[in-house]
Amino acid sequence: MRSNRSGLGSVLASFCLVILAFAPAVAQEEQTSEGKDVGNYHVNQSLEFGWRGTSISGNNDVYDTFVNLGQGFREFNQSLEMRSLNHSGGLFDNLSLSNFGYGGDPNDVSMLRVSKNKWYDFTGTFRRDRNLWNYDLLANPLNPTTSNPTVIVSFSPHDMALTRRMTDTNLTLMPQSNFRVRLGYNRNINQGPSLTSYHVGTEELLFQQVKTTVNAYQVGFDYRGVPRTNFSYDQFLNYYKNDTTDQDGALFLQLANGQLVDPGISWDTKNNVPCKTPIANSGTTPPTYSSNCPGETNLWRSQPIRTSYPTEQFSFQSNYFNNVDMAGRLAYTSADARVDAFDELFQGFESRTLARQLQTTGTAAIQRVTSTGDYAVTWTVTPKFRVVDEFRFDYFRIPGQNNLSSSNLFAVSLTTAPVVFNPANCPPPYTASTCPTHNTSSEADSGTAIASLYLGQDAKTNTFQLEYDFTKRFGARLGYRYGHRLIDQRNVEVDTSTYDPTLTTSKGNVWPGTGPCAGVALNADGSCTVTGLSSASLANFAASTTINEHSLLAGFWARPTDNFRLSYSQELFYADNTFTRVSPRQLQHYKLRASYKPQQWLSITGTMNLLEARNNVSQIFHIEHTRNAGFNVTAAPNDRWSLDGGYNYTGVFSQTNVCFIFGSGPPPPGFPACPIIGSAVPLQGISIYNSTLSYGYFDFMVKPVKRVTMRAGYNIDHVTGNTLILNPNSPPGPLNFDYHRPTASVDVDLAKGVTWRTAWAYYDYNEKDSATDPIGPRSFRGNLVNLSVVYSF
Amino acid sequence: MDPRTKVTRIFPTVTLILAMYLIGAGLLLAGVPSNTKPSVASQAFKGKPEDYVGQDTCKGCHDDMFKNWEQSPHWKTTLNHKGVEWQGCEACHGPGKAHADAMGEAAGDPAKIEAAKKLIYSFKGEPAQEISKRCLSCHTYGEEHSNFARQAHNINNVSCIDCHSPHYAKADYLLVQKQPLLCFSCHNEVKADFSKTFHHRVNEGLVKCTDCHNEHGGFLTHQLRSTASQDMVCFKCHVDKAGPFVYEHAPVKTEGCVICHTPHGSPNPRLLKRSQVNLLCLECHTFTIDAGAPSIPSFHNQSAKYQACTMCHPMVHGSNTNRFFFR
Repeated sequence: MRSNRSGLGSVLASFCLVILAFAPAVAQEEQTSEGKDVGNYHVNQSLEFGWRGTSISGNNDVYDTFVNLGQGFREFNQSLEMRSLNHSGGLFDNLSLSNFGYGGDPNDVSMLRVSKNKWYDFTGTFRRDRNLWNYDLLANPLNPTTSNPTVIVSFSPHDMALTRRMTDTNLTLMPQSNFRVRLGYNRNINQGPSLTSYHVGTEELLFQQVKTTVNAYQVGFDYRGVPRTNFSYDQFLNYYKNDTTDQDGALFLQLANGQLVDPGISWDTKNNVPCKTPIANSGTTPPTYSSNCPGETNLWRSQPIRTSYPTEQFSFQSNYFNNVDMAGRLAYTSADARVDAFDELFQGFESRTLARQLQTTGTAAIQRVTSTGDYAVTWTVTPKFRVVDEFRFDYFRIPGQNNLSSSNLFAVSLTTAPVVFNPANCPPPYTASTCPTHNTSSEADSGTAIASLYLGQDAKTNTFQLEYDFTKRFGARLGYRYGHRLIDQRNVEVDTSTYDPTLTTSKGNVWPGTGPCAGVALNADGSCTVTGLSSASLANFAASTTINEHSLLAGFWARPTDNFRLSYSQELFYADNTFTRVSPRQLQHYKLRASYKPQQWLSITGTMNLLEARNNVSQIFHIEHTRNAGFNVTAAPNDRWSLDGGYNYTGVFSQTNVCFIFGSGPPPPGFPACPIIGSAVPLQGISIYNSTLSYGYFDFMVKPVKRVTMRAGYNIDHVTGNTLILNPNSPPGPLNFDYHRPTASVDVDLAKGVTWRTAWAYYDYNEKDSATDPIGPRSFRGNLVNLSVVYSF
Repeated sequence: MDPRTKVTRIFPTVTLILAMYLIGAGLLLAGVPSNTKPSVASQAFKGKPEDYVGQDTCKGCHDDMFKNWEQSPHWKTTLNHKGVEWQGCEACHGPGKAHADAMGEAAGDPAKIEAAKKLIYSFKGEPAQEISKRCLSCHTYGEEHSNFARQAHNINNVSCIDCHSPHYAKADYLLVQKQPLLCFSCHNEVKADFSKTFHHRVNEGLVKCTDCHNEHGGFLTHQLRSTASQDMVCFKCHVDKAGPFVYEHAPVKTEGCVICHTPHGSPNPRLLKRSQVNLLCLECHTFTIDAGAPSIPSFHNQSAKYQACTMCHPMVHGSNTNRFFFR
């Protein structure tokens, strides 16, 4: 979608006129926001309300994904502070309320904090996030232009327009007393339309109505009756509901009989996707799809999930013993998830298996049992020397089981009615035309599948550290961390499948001479029932992985002068095993931070963060690094001007040996055969990802006269990189782009407590090469102008 | 492997380590000002009742500070019934009688005034451990502060008053600056992360640093918080990824979300670590004898289609009904 959303000329002209009209008012009165006394309260209030104008050109979908600020009237900001003058208000002593974004912005936030000294403290937050997401490269099939017809998918098949509403409330009763009560309630709703894809024969586009809800409750107590010690107990209950449904979302072709059909989003006729000649008649509206090709005429899926997560937690913190600081926590969660009614119906045609209708129903039940424990102690041996130990165990196990029943029908094309097996109409020798049709890839006509899976991890970590403060200005530490992980996976699946007799003339088969029923005693109606795994690829397995991890920790802090601070830390890590190929066996992490404040108004900070990791064992050779360095300068010598600016560099590199299939066409140059035994066909390559990100910014403020505040700023991301490109249709994507965001604003104090604000922001996203790729361009430009009035007292 | 690559990789690492330890040793040996002997004031954090004078005496000289303090939450210390040592200015600064008396007797003599100033704990230039210890003598409630002594801020000499200003706060919770600017003032690499094209909405004000990190400690690495059910903090918002599932994508649970995502920000969609999803998948799901991830089947032709594995396997975080994460 590319358009120019609105003209900005009139907006800018209005803005200039408004500025000129108000110019004489400049420098007459000084704005204050000291607040005023109302009854027993001192009140400060501020409200910024106005209008935003936008002019967007280029790819609006990417603009919405990145920015999504629209045009219209907005409450840009509001805040209210109330404080009891004598610390003895009626219902509350202090109240703080703030809001922003209401009126149409994607992010709306309200925060409320109310307290009455020793009686209660309440905090509440409401946040709404409207997440429009459509970056077309994600999950795009990248259909080649050699396909006939050429079908270019110019949106992300996984786009979304979701709204998440999060409410968090917490109430503490008697916050000052030795026994206090904490109550909490949180609610998180995520809902809206989205797209997803489903692989049955082709990749069909599905329309989802997403709706997930979490209600979380908390009751907690703190007891501080023992000197310098606090005990806490909390009971949590989270209840999760997922009522997302899926249905076909792209019935954009028709069959010869007029029925609408979804041929899927992958189109590469040269490689028989969805088939060699998918369009039977292009002269109809919509075009007529070939009935021998895979497609979908109807899909419905519902799998409501209900999960409860009750958690009990005990924690403490104590300085009861001299020079010993201790803290600990024990928590136990036993989560239960249930899918009581999974229901999926596919109607269409899968040419590989001749499936014409697939219906699956069933249930699932899963548990997650988690127990964690932490104990940490610091022993201050001398005022300068401390011994620290932290121990953690983290154990979880997730046993899950589903029980699915399937009932399938088969036919030879999209327009052929499937035949339901009826022994009366299909007697031996199964040559009647009323017998069902299958092929050797057809799945069972009906069956049940019970899968029991288990994933568990038992992890223990202990960190021992010595800390020594050599002087008040220099301290160092040295430590060792040991970690042990045991990961268990188990999978047992039993399928009971019933195969109905196959039309004997089909593919020359003689029922039951071939196929899964060969050698199996037939049922009375001629069908056979087979128990076991339906496919060799679904092998049952049990595996466990043990990993021992060792880290050498070191670091120091220094404060050579009152104005200069420095801190450094490092971790040298080694593991004797990994769970994934990209998990490190060796890792080094170095962090350096420095800040220098030569004057009260001048601050310079710098950081360096280096992460080097590798799993360079035979056949993996995974190496990666993330190297980051940056600085920031802030200068505010007086209230007339200030400057904030900085630069940050990040270099990300990764390479891993991968072996992959390159089934047709010439392989890319330099790709040798995969050396893995038994894998002569797949090719080997090095998956390289190299990205360099430079980020620079400044924000300059000046007050040329008392009543005018002017700001100018600039943010820029400059990204370059390269990666292994396997798919010749794949554009480089976000590997090379510039993202400019200049800003400017003028505040004019019109009267006491009234400020006219004009702000401009510009977004210029320039994804290089995207202008020429088939699904591009993904670049956009956006001009935004905010005209607002700030009223405060 | 090209030996030059190895040297290039090792050289900056070794240089950095050496540089850091040279700086550290240099600072130690150069005789940086050493004042390790605790002051009289810091030794006497809690004194005898007769050593206290009450906040009204403080107000006499420190009127502007008193005014700010009186409007702050710390005024509530005056309601504390445990004793005068827990009330008012002296709850933090320690007993003030010696200081007040000495200031009275100084009668304008600069030397005596300087000496009198040292009789009260002023926080300025004091070690972070000592400063934080004073704050924590009251702020020990609950899990939020419980592991403060061992967290990264504390062990790197960052104290409570580097972020909080009891007298001149500019934001709620007595912060010297609002989030995220306060955090960015030291962690400026994170500012760059949140400015990337795909990022969590921290700059926009929707998400705060403290939603995911416990700035006061906690028990997890990176001072991360966890959900109430002890799961990764990501699942507090991304609840549909939490499971539990019949078919778990095991690394999500064992290695964490960061095995595939960069949580602060990324130039890649969905905050992924790679620009192309298929390469991210292939790095684990490849033909190998080294690790347990299932290898890709032979019909997954990388030359013509299957650009994104997630097109057929959209439920990559876990599924209840399909082992291949189709639905």
